[in-house]
Amino acid sequence: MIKAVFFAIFDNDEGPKVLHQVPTESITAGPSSTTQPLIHFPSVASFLIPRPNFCSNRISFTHNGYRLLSYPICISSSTYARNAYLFNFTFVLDEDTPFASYTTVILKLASLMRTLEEQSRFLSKDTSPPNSGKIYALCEVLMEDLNNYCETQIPIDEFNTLNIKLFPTYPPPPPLLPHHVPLSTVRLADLVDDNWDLTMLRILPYIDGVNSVKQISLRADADHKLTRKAVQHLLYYGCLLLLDIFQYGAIYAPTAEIAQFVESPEAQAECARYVAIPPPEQDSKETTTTVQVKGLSGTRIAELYLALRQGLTVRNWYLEHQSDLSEVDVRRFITFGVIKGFLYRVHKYAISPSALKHTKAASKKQGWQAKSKARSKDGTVSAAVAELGLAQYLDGTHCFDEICTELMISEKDLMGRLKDWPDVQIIHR
Amino acid sequence: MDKFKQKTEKKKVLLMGRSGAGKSSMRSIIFSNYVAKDVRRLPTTIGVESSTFKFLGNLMLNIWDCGGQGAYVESYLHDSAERTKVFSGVGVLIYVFDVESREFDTEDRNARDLVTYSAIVKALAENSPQARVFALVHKMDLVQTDFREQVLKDKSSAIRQRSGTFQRTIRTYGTSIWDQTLYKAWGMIVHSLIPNLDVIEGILSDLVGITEAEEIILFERTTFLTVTSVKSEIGERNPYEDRFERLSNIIKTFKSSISTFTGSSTSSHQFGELYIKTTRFNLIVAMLTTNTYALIVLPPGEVELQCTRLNLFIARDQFVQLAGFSDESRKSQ
Repeated sequence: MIKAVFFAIFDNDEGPKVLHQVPTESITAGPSSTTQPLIHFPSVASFLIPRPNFCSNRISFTHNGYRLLSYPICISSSTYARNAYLFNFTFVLDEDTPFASYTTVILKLASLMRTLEEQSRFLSKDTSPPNSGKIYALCEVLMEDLNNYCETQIPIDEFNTLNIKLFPTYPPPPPLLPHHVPLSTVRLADLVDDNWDLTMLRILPYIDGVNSVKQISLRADADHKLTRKAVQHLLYYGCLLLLDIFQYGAIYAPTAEIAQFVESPEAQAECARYVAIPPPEQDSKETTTTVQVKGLSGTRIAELYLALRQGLTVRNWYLEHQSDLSEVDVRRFITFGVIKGFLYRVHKYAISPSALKHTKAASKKQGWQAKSKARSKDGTVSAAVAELGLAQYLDGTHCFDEICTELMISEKDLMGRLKDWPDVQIIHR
Repeated sequence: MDKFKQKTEKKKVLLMGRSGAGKSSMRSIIFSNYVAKDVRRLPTTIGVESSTFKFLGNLMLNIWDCGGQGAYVESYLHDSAERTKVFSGVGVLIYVFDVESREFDTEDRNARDLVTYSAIVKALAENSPQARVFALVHKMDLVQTDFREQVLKDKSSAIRQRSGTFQRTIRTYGTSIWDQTLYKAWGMIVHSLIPNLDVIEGILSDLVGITEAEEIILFERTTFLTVTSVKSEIGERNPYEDRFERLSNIIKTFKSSISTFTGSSTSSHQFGELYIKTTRFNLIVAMLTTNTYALIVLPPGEVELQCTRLNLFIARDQFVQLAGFSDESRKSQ
């Protein structure tokens, strides 16, 4: 919550001075006022109306239990009485309020005011008495709207409007790799409009929980980097979850949280609805919620999840429980577990000490002599470079999904190529 | 010479007065080689701008240019920490009055300028009773020439009345950035700050005797303010009382035009020696030490001129030996 908004300037006779404040007497008290001001303005004046070389910097500090956020602006021009006009809009917040989202607002406000002042002397021309007039009204609306609606739109004159919104700040999203499979948690199709980013519009139809990021970019014919950025953007705002590529050869195992699932009939019922294959005629309509899997009780579902374990591929698991799974969408079955967090993918990693050595040597070669080598021993070096493509992934930090996606090969091909490295170890984790 | 060996002496100079009185302008002209017409471009001083100038080797002038806006004055006077910080250890207070100010009525005891002034003088008396006070009635060029003397007299007595404990020692000057009066006032201020003045004057009067010069004037290099001067008997008869400040003004303008043509910085040594030979007199302006110039007025004649140049050259050593007067200059000479 913003406690106060005020507008201060450097007065050529009086020095730093608060012209307008909302609420009135929150910053500087009048002679007859009964309330104590929030802050002692004279002691912070040198930070709010600083020397010109300090201006155009975001200034944030705490004083008297409040946080003051401001962005002083100094406009030098010979049209002003003393060759400069120095002003500052300041927000007063509680000390413990997270203020990150306000900093962009204060910056935007300051830069707009700077432009207005430079264009039309909007601020210096306003000679209304303290706490009245346009600027006061602006401060007032700004504070009210930001506190009540987190956004505001204030028309200033014919050409300028102040559009401000407090954007929540989230932690940065996890790194996004080409083999990640995004699954939307909201109906993106309902949110989208024509003004959205072009890449975003292209890729949206392909975000279905099946395609990996790389596949999305290929199918949508969109640039891979832009696709990644767009997906990361959605991820930042929590519209997406990241899954892995579903394969029958993959291995999944339950986590400790499976216990909660086992004890919760509601969760099991939800699962049953989610995994059911809808009857063909209702395929296009959104009626899957009413479909129930025949003959599959909650207990049975839990048992099926518990049957997944290390070393057992989905294919083998399916073969074992074929009779139960006839009306179940296996992909959705697995995905449900991953989304709810009681199932995890057991990834495969390959590590080969000789490949590691090879990579190091090759990177040296590439750095210094790659060109000359390529000329002298053409065949061998180019082969080495080609092989390096795989070798660089054999340090145990890249899972099979990633290697396959990066090299655009199938897992079978990968296994074949790994035979070139006799000392390769495969780790399931 | 041991007794002259002393550490660099730092003098704190407070420059105060209401906003727009011209404090920063005069500081820029005297110490930063601004030309009078350029000070229009100066921005307002925000808070206190402190700067240090090396003046004559061992004398450092630490100038506190204090913004004169109401809020600042309020904090200098009523914020106890700020009050001690500003007013303690002051060597000189230069208080600038705007002669045009409507708040400065010599008749009215409650005129705002004078009330502020007496409050500041009181604060100074509490924190640095040894300080010297100079009051400059500035922007005198705005007053008609005929009235200037009277106006200055009236204002001076009003200021003196409100000077409290400094009533006896205060000195007032009328100044303007457009003529030499500014140099006169600052020359006097600086003159009062130089520690071993009598020694310097002693050497100079020896030099006057030897060279048969009419007058020798010593200038500081960067500001070209008159440090001191020594006259012979003939020199005493010079009718122009304001010649020092006029010379300061002229040479400074000269330096400024040199820098325009040569592109050198105004703070560098722009000329080593300059002499004017006429049938009536000889005049030499020559570098004496790294931070001083001497101006010597001689009787006419080539022999006199050359002899004096030699003598001056010899005299340099003696000045260099004045410890602190020209500390690191030896190497460069």
